[in-house]
Formats: sequence, C-alpha cells, structure tokens
Amino acid sequence: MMLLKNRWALATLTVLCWAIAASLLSGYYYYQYSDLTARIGKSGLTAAGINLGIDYGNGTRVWYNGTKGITLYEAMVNAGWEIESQSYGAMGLYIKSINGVEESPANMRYWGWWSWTDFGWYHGQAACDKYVVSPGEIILWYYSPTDPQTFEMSAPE
Amino acid sequence: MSKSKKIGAIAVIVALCLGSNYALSSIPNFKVMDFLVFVSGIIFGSGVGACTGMLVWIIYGLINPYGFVPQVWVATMLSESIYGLAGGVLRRKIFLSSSSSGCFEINVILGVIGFLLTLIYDVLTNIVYAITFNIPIIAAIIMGAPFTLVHEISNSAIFAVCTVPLLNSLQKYMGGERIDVIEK
Repeated sequence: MMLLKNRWALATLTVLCWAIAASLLSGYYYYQYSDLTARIGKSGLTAAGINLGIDYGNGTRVWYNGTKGITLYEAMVNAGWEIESQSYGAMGLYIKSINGVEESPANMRYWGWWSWTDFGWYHGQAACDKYVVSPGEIILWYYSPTDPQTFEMSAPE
Repeated sequence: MSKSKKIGAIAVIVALCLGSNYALSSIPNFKVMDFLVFVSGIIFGSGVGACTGMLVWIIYGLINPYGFVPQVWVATMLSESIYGLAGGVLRRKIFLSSSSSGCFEINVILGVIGFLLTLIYDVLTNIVYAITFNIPIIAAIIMGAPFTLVHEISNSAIFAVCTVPLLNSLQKYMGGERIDVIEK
C-alpha cells in the first residue's frame, strides 16, 4: 500500500482526523454559545423569574410563579423544595427525589423536567444545575411514567 | 482453519464483545467491541467480520441497558458490520502488502482507520436517531459531538495500539495455526 510508504500522506490523514474532530467540537460549542446568549441576553445573567411547577403524577400540580434563579436548580432551591440529588461531575446533578417523592425504578417512575414551547412540552436536555433559565420560561418537573423498553419519559398533559 | 474451529472462534469473539460491552456500559461510548469486530474481519474476512458485528448487536441491542428502539437497533446492527467489512478489505491492503513498512506507519494508519470508521458509524446512527425522534439531523450530529468524539478518539487509540499486538498473539497461539496476516 503506497500510503504506508508516504509519510506526508499519513500526516495529511492524521490532520484530516484532527480537523473533523475540531470542526465537530467548534460546531457544538458555537451552538451552545448561541443558545446561552439567546437565553441570558434578556436578563444579563441575573436571576430570572420563571414559572416553575411540579407535577407529582397523581393529579397534583403546584405552580411557583415568579421563582427566581440563574439555573433551574437555583430556582428549585429558591422555591423551597426539598431535593435529593446525585452529582455526576461535569454532567451535572441527577434528581432522585423532590419534596419526599423518590424515583421508583420498580414502578418505572422518574423525575424529569419539561419546558413549555409553542409545540407543547419539550423534555429538558441538560441537568438542572447546568441549565440557565430565561425570564418568563415555564418549566414543569414531572414524576414521569417511563417506558421500560426505551426509557422514554411520558410528557405531562 | 477448519469450519468448526472457525465457528468456535467467531462465537468466542461475539461473547468477548458482549462481555466487554456490558462491563463497560457505564462509560458512554467507550467500547472495545468495534476493535474486536474489526480484528475478526482481518482474520476471517469481510463476510464473517460483518456477520460478527451484526450478531453482537442482535443480542446487545435487544438486551441493552440504555433501552431498545427498533429503528436504532437495525441501524447500529448494519453500521457495526462496517468495521468487519473494512477489516476484511484492509487485511490485504495493509498487512499482506506492508512487509516493508514499519510498525509505526501501520499503527498510524490503523488509528486513522479507527477514527474514520467510527465517524461513519456515528453519523449513520445519529441520522437514524434524528429521523426516529423527529429531530433535525444537523442538530442531532452537533449535539452528539462530545459523545461522538469520545467514541472516535478512544477507538482511534485502541485500533492504533492494540491491533498489531492482538494479531501477533492470535497468529502465534490460535490453535497453533498461522493466520498469515502479519508477515514477520
């Protein structure tokens, strides 16, 4: 194979891999940056007031309108919730229990947060301590029934 | 190598892939399965390599700690076979024709191959994931970039460092038979 005898070709291939990796990473960080600036642009990284709700999955839904916080977790703490969580380092906090209601692997019920959009409830894509909220955002913590096969959480109604 | 010995060796590789997958399931996107499927392609040829990849995913996809989604399962099954196919194709191009090339060059090219094959695998599975869950394809690829990169860089390192030593060992010890992949 001629490629193996040509060190320049090998170097070019290595640089190609590096370029692909760097492009993917820069695309990811550009997306994150754009998303973050779009959200905090309105409040300028001060505690934003959001409409925070909790649905226990038994028909009880309580709203804490105007709750302030920079991150979703901060808003939850400011709302006076009792939270049990587990830290996964850079990935953030995993919520195991809210106000004494613990997740239940036996019944496939887990806590998940949902943001209200024009298209309905949208499942949160980040850990609550990593998510910077924007003013007026509507966020609901839902004790979601979860599909045992796909681990997909049901959206709140 | 006799047919029964070949079937036995494939079964062992599939079992090794499954065992290592479950053992490493808590580390997202770090797997030695891709490397083992690639090596099976080098040893037994493209057809067997591709079947090994598919066989592993038939089982691992069905009994998966991250859940079961039929569309993604089929996509991963087909995408995994790429490693086996590539192993068979590259066997002649790299190993059988590189007796004059140094080990360093072979390791570098194997690292590059590991990276590019993983990139193809990740792009294909991300596209199917995006279509299945109705997410824009570009967004799915960009948002999955950190996981994709962990997969690509770890595979690149494993392919570069482990392929030649494993092939050498297999050549020496597998039933006392030569695989005739690396010419000493």
